[in-house]
Amino acid sequence: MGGLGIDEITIGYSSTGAAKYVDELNTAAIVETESIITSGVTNVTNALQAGWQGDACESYLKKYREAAEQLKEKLKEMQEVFQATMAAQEETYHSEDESMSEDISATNIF
Amino acid sequence: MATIKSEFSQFVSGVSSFVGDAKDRITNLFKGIVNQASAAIGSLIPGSVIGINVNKVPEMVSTIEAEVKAIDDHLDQVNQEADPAQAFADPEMQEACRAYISGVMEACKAYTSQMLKLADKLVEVKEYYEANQAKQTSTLRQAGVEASSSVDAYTRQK
Repeated sequence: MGGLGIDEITIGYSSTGAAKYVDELNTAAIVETESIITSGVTNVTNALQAGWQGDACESYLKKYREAAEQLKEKLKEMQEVFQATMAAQEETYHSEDESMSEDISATNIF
Repeated sequence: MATIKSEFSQFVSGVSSFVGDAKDRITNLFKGIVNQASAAIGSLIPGSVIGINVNKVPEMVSTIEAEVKAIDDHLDQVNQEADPAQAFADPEMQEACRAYISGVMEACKAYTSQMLKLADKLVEVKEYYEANQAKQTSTLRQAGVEASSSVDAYTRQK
């Protein structure tokens, strides 16, 4: 993840930079991890089936695949929580910012 | 009428307070999801190992280890590169991002730990088989010696 150009910011965040960051983080932490898990399940399944025959193996593989799916679901859940929090955060920054701007506009400082 | 300075302080204070709450909330949410993930993944130790070809165990184990390493390496890289300070100046927001990354890493750790337990179980099965095979061979040899020592050579009478 490259620099997002917020060097001058000391309060809050750069809306554009934050959105880009969240997007990149979700891709790396969730999408790419899920892809690694999925290909891992295929590789491990093939390796186990090559050296383990019968019902015990199939029963185990069923449990293993379910565990991988459960993990992927939980990763998705985390992503949704994170995105919802970031969206709420952005909304708060904007409403605080607008509220302050309106008050400042109404203030005769000149 | 509020001054710019006081309005600004209020803004900073309001944002900090919200962000602080968000960080705690998101941290707790992630902890909850990690616990749920761990419970959902459960134990991946096989109940039965009937049908395993012990000669294939090294290949099975190395595949499992490679997949665990792929997940670990990827998440380590994400953790190193995803510096939240790139996007958020606020330390509390940075903490919320770190909580997210940690949550993902911990949930995956619950899964990879179970995979490693499977690898250890396979090695254990192989070792057990080899130890017993050696014992059986030894017992058979001993039985052979004892059998031969107790055999009386038969001499035909006619």
